Amino acid sequence: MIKAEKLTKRFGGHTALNELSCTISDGSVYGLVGSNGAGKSTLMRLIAGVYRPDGGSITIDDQPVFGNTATLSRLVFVPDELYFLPGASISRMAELYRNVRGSVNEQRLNDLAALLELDTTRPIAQFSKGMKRQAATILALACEPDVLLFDETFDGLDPVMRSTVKRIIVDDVMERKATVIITSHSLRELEDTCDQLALLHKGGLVLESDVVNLKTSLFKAQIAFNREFTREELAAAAQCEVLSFSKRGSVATAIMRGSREDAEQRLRAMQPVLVDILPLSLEEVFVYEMEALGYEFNETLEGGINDEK
Amino acid sequence: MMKNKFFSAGLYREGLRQMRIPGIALACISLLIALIDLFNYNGVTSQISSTSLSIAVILALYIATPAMVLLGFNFLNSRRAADFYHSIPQTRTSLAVSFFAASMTWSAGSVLMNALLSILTVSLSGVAVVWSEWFIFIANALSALLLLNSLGLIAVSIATGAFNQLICAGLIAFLPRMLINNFGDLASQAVPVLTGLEDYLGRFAEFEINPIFSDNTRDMYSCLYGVVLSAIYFTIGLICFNRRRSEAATQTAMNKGVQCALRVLVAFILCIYPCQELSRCLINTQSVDGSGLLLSYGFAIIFYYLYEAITSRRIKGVLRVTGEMGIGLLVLAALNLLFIFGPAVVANSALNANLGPDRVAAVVLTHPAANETRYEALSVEGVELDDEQLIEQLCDVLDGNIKTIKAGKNPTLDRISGMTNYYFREYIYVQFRLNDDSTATRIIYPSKKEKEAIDASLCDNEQYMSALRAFPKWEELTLIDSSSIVDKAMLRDLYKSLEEEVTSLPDSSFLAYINDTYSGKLYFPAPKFYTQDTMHTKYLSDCFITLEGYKDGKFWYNNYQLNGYLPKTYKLYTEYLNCPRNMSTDDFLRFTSGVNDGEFSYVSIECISPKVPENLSASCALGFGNGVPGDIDNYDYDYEAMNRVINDIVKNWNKKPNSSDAYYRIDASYGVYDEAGYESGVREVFIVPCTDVDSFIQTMESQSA
Repeated sequence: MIKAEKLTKRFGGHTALNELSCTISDGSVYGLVGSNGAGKSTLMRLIAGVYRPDGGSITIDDQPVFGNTATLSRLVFVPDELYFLPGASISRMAELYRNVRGSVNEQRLNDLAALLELDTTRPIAQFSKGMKRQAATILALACEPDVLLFDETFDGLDPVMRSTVKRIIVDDVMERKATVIITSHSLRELEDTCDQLALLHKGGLVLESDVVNLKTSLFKAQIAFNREFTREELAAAAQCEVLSFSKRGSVATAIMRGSREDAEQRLRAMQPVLVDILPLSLEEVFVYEMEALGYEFNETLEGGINDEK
Repeated sequence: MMKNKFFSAGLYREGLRQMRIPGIALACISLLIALIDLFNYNGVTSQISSTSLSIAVILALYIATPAMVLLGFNFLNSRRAADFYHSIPQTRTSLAVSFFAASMTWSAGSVLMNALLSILTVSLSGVAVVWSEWFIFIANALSALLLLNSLGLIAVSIATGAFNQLICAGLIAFLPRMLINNFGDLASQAVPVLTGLEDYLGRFAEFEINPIFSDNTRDMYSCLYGVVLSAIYFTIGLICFNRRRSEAATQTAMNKGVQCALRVLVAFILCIYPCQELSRCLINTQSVDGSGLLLSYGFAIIFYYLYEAITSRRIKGVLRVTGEMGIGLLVLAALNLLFIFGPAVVANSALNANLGPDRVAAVVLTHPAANETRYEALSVEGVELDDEQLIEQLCDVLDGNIKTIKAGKNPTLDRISGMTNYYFREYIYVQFRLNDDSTATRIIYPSKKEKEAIDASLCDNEQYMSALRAFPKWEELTLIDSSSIVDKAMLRDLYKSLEEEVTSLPDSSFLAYINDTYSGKLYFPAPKFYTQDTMHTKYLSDCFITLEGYKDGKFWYNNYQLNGYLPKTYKLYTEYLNCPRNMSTDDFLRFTSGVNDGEFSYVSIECISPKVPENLSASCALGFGNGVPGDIDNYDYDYEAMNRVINDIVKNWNKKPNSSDAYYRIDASYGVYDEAGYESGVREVFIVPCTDVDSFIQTMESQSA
């Protein structure tokens, strides 16, 4: 289990992470989203042991990370800005990994390279941006670590390749029960891959939840009665929390948190003129959850919604 | 994972691989030049300097090592690379040590390979290998490599970017001693009784990292000093490396304080000249070139900002951090004040220090003056003398020198009565141990009479003379050399004769002999000539026997000139020399009266005889240059006596002197000028019996009148 407790990191006068606490279970695929400067890469580097925390702690199975070679040997970090030796090929980088880490599964590396049609003898400098990311990913996977950290790794990959790489990672998780942490600007990218999602904003963890729970905990209800009704009446009738309530004419649209089936049953029992229970997209869930917390969604994920359109 | 804590074989392999380009280049060049030696080695006894090991060491030190360190640790200069290396399952210590070891392997390996091949070359040529000399040279080279690599580790840990790191390494390597030297020199130039560096470093002044700071590579103490200093630097480097944050890759240095310090020190180098001028102005109340000072300080300020711009690669950033830059300027100003006023304070303190005989408990001399590589100097090192008369004499000389300085005159110069020229006085290093056990080291400049009186007191001091008269034992020698004589049995005979004659010299003669040797009066450098056909240097004897060795780990060498003080050894030497005499009497007469057009000749005639007075025997020779007696414009030569000497030589030309005869030693170089105007000829040294010593004495006395 990866545990961050009141983790703080400062760069000069700027606090990149401010007493952040979170727990990442073994074998999960954990997604981190946030706008630029939210602290995602900083958190990743703290978990990877690159940075020393200025406050709090970061542990893996209760063992500190920074300077702990035993812990560091269990994880591999694929950063947003990739590093390769000048003129090196995948084979040469595998040798580097072998020298610094102790072992690399050559067979697995070759299999993955074949799958992604990467030439292991060709200089990586000649690869495209996407191919470089693929190369970094397969090198990381070939090390067979317990923890994999991918910092905006899927950026630059085409949709087909993104899907392939995600599948490879998920297979790895399933097979070896590895823990994976992925950061991205885009919720959509993480939606179908991650078990848990967390939203960072200005160095703090704003929201953290199971993806399934996130998707099912909120729903949209469109309802109309032939009489006036208020938000509170609706909440009482459905026995749910109403996060958002708007009315146009006689039709009210409410975002509700609670048991969807129960709420639907209760609302139908009231014999409304119209009742529709609709699921929300993850982005919509985040929007309303953030609004409930008092944040403006556009402030926290600038361009995040619009990226994938 | 304890195995990765201090060293990792994997990282070491990786380091070797990443540094392979400069490493392999160095190895190839070292191998190549060592192989060239195999064909070119001419069997001279000075083994190391005539092989390529020196070149290999220079290449390793000044080119390969900086390249390898910068290359190997370049990951610290890039955010991506730094993040990678800091995320691997290795301790920072292991990373630093492994890469350090890789760099050392390449550089030291190449030097050792070259050394082995060079030793093989010497052995194959039939010359006996002087193992101690090789060992000490190689040890010094490895010590210097260790130091450079350690400096490099500090530099890459605290600075970012190749330029900044090189500057940093250079500052650490050279600045401390340079500043101390400058500071000391300023004070000692103003007050010549001050010893400069020695006053501030004491024993450490004589330690130099060979061969970085000195071409004397024969000193084991300096080697050990280098190793100790390397260990200190390495430890500091490791600490800095461990403390360096990965995010420093995007900054100019480990932190703002370090960058500020680098800026200040670089700018201060440009301030040294104006500091020196202002300091001299203070001490000697002389005027200064105001425009020159303004220009120097202007450059220093400009470079202070320029350095920040170059290392940070931002012009705007330079202006933005004005507050921080201002602190640095204040520190720079403080350093300037220290170097302007400091030497004056030290000089003043020395001038007013009370070193009277009532305060001095004992003295230690380095005698003769400051030639620390002589056997005698090492023998008397540390010998404390508490003779009251001697102490009083030395204190009086010092007091006189200080009064001279205070009067605005130079105590190092003297003038021969009736002459317009000045000559430099001999000097003696004296360490005064005071009654409170503190010490003060001074250089004193006695006049000729004062020197004679001091020598007389020393002669009476049994403890001192016993130490001074110690003659090197045969077992202590690592080299005995007398130019053309290489036969070991002959060298052994010469050594025995030398030992016998030197040790049986009366104390006053012994002192005069070594004094004259140190002051250069006796030294006649051997000229080299190229023959027209072979273009090789043809050496003949220059009448020295050189002994070298180690005493208490310190290298020494003595050149014993063979002259009138050592007539038996001289005679034995010339017998062994067995040079063929090609010169005819006609040639000799021509060379001492007037040469033909296109010819050149230099002839020196000494007379070796107990009848020749001491003041004439060893230091005077009748010399001719192209047939003209030397310096005749200034002296009233007794030409008749001189001609009698010439005739005596001609008369006895083909006779061989026996052991009881007086004899002339004739050292002649002669030949012709080639088309380019260079001298092309030969040199001959031979002896001819002397049957008219009186004429020689008469001639020399007329010369020195």
